[in-house]
Amino acid sequence: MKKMFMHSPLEQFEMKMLLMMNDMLALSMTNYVVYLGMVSFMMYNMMTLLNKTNLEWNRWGLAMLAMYDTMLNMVKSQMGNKGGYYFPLMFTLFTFMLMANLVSMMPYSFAMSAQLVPVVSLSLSLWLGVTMLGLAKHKLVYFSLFVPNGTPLPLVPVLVLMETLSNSSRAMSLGLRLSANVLSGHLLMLMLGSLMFNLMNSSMFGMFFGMMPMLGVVAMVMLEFAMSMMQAYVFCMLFSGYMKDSMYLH
Amino acid sequence: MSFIARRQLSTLIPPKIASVKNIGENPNAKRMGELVSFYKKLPTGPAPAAKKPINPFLRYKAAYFDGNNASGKPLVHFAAFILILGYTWEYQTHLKHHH
Amino acid sequence: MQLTLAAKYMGASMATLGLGGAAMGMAMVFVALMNGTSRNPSLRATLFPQAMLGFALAEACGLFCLMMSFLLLYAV
Repeated sequence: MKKMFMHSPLEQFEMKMLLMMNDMLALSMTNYVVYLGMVSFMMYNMMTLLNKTNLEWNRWGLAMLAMYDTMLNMVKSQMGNKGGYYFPLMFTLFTFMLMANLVSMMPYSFAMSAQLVPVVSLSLSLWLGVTMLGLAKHKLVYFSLFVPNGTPLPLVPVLVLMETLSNSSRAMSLGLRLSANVLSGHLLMLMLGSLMFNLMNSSMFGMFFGMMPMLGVVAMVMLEFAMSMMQAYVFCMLFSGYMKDSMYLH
Repeated sequence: MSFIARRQLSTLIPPKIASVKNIGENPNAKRMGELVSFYKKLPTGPAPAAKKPINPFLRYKAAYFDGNNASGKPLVHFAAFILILGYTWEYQTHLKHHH
Repeated sequence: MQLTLAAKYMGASMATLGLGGAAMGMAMVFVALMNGTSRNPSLRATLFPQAMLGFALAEACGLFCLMMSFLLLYAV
């Protein structure tokens, strides 16, 4: 029975090697790569399903189109009709994060989005792309983004400093939000679960009275499911907000 | 002038309402016969089941994704797969060493 | 050794204090939602997703604290 739980709650986020070429970085197969492959395989199949469900509505097509429609509505409301150019990116991001988060909710699975390095590097490169988009579109006028409209002149240097800081901190905070959410959610679930396990394992009395807090654990798991979907949505929403900033400047 | 003359000419000739050929048979009968023979050639009864694909992926798709068979069961299968894979992996790397 | 352990636990517990702010933030989001819907019930459909978004953002900020305390407990 002791084999059911782990030593440290952080052990669940450990990278496990399958195949090592040189070091962890070059062409090595880990836990992460396997799950990444699974998610991309699902995304590819989802794309083929989405392409084939023209008029023959079955439940899968409806489920896919519901996601598609949600994202389309979000992108259109954030960026206007021009945002349609960036809709494929948003939809891919959303699908990827949704699937990664939901796969990580399965028992004994691996939480892909709790790995800080890949997620933060993803958000960093997205932010870099958005900045490059703004610079390409507006040339040097892009920097007017850092001066809010109607600022009195003496305040401008301070405000520019603050806006620059807030703009560049977006790169980190976007990925950190998702990652920290998933990380702490999974830690919380594991700790509550092992607590319940210890309580119900202790005695008959504990078994009986453990039923009530068990409901709390179930509610926690449901909240985590909701959060895993919501965080993917929030990520895309904030990112399209940033993209709107660099497309339209205010 | 000529147009009036032609009009007069056309009003003079009576329309062909009845002729020997048309009185003798129902004009629709021949067309109906063609129609009946066409429909007789069509296959009757329930449609034959679609041929089962040999490729296991396509068979899985036919069983759980296509048409009326669409259901959420692949998600359950996937969860079971993850459970088995994850437990095996976890056992090999961690759980074996903790006693 | 014991002293560093004690400091670790104290740091972890202090890091969770920030959750109070997240709790207040979430409460304010839902108070605003209730206020808005009671003033104009027909706006509920548009207000609810925004409230959910605000809830998610506030919760994420709270979870940063939780993550810090977990990191202090298990990773330091």
